[in-house]
Amino acid sequence: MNLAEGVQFVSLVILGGLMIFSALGVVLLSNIVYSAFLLALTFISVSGLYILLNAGFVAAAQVLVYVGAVNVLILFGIMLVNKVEVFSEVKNAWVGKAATGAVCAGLFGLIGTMVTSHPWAISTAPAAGDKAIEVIGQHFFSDFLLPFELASILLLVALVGAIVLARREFLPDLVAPQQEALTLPERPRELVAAGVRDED
Amino acid sequence: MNPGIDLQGSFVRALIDLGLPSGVAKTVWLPLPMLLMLVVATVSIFICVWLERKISAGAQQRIGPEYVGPIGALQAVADGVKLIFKADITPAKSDPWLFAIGPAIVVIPVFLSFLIVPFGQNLVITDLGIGIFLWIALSSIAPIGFLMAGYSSNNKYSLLGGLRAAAQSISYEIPLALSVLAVVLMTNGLSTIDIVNQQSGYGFLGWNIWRQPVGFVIFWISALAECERLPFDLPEAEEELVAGYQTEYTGMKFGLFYVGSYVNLMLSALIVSVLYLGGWSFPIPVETITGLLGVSESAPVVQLLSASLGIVMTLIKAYLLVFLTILLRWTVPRVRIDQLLDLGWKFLLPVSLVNLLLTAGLKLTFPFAFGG
Amino acid sequence: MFVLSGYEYFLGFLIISSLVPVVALGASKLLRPASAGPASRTTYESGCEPIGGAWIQFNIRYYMFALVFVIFDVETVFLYPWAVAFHKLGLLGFVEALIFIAILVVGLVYAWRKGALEWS
Repeated sequence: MNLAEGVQFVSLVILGGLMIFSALGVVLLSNIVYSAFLLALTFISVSGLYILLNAGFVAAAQVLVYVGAVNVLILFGIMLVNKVEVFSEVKNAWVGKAATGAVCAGLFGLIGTMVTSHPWAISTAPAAGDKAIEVIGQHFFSDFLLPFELASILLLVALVGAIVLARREFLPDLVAPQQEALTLPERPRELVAAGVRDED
Repeated sequence: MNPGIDLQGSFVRALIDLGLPSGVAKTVWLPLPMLLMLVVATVSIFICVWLERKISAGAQQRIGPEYVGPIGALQAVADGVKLIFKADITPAKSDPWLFAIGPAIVVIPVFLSFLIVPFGQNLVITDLGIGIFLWIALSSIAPIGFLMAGYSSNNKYSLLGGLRAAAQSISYEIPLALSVLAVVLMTNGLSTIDIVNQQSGYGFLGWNIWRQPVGFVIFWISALAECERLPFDLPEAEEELVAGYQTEYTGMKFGLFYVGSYVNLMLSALIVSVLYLGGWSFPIPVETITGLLGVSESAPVVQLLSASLGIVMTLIKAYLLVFLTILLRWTVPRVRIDQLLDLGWKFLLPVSLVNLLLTAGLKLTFPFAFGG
Repeated sequence: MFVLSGYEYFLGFLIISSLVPVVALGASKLLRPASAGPASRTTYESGCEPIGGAWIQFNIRYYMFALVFVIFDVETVFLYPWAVAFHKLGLLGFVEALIFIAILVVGLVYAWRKGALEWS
């Protein structure tokens, strides 16, 4: 193992560990804001893995779209509704947690056996490397033309749907009377009549 | 194309001649350009701060800093030393971890972007395949830092400032990326070296600013907004939000935001000069000058001179843009938040889309003039 | 097999730039005086005593901009491979990109008409 391969191996271990632990943090931490920031760390580790897989453009696109856009959207969403609420204690909460844990462990085992048992057809073609972005562009306009155009329609539908949902103009009954978003309690003030003269 | 001087090649060869194996020689070389670039970025902060204070003073008929060093040139260094020695206050109600990480998230991507800033044919840390796209991707991380700083302070001004900063940053990122896209279209690649080489050949007449005037203006406006420079300094509008997301910060944590904003300004100026003003190329092609003087272009002295000229040209162009930014600061009033968002979404975004399609159309019609 | 070039510099520079805040804060930690009393650690609210915390609900205006931004960010990423490969695609590539952008401009017009881009 030469120096370059050693560095790649260490990077892989660090990135993988970072990804797994930050993803666990996203799920397990009770503070939802921490979860959102750890999600950004997860995305960045995934982007590092893409670099190790010779996909520089995909790595940068991952950072741009997921960290720069999706995660900012999530953070806006959280910060705009981030009210401290006190939930009442649920009795026998451990039953739900145990059931969730069992389902998750089952899913993990299922996917794990599938991954190890499936005969993956690993491509032997040389990686496009630095030319990848040009190759992607050529594919977009030859054999992947229809998916490319459909992607724009998908984006359009997502935009329209998001605006409709966020503005809720078709659900007028569900809109609760608007509360003041930010209220500052006024301190009781004594009524002072200083300097008022009604002589003139 | 003139290959230019190859510092890395000569350095590695010299070490190999000394008896080191080539792998070790390359590893010894590795940190040198990075540390040099870090020094360049750090010194540029001091120069930018000094320029900012002197030019602002000139615009207001004051003298500005004059006691620290000759003509006050060391004022920024004194400021930096002061910040290091200041007590570091973490508000009692804040979230101390996020409070400390926030400034780091803003600063690291800005420094990392210097990876792809070229000062000459070989005078760049590395010519990554994704080139300019790296800068676009890295600059999109900053909003996370603003939100983190704003949220963790647990202060209303900070949170509002952080939200504003993030909203402003995302609003101007699309016009920025689309105007870079038009340049990429003409270059047929993302590498910053290719972008400069594509502009060389006809002296200053070949620079992208003549072929992309609209793109240049869009890019410049968006870059100012991304750097939160006046007239777009809403996130820290002092009359409204005290200092925005920086309100609770003191000492070196505040210093990091300060460093980040000035390095980002310098970075944006450098990127503008690379994308639109021909990067390191001299207004008259060096080939023409050497031809007139009758000296060989590949002579060592000429190579050294042209490389130094390239570095000086890049810096002159960048500092000219910094100068313009500072003048702009004292010329135009701050926009309102609704005006800011209207400008970004309802004007710059459509115009940059039209500019992109127009460039593609022109490239089809006149391939020789738009990069074939 | 790693074929990308130049990423050893990326890794090195990532480490060096990450050290910038660490060194700056570390140096400051060694040199600065201890923080003053509890009064200096109160939340700043222009000299008044702070009323309530900041972790409360704010207006939803910013959310709409972030929504529209995600869509157009993805669009931009799709267009980068197009721009790089454009010299090999010719007129067909131009027409296809025109359709792609036109469909998204419809979305922009929709967002505009529905007031998603209004600040109020």
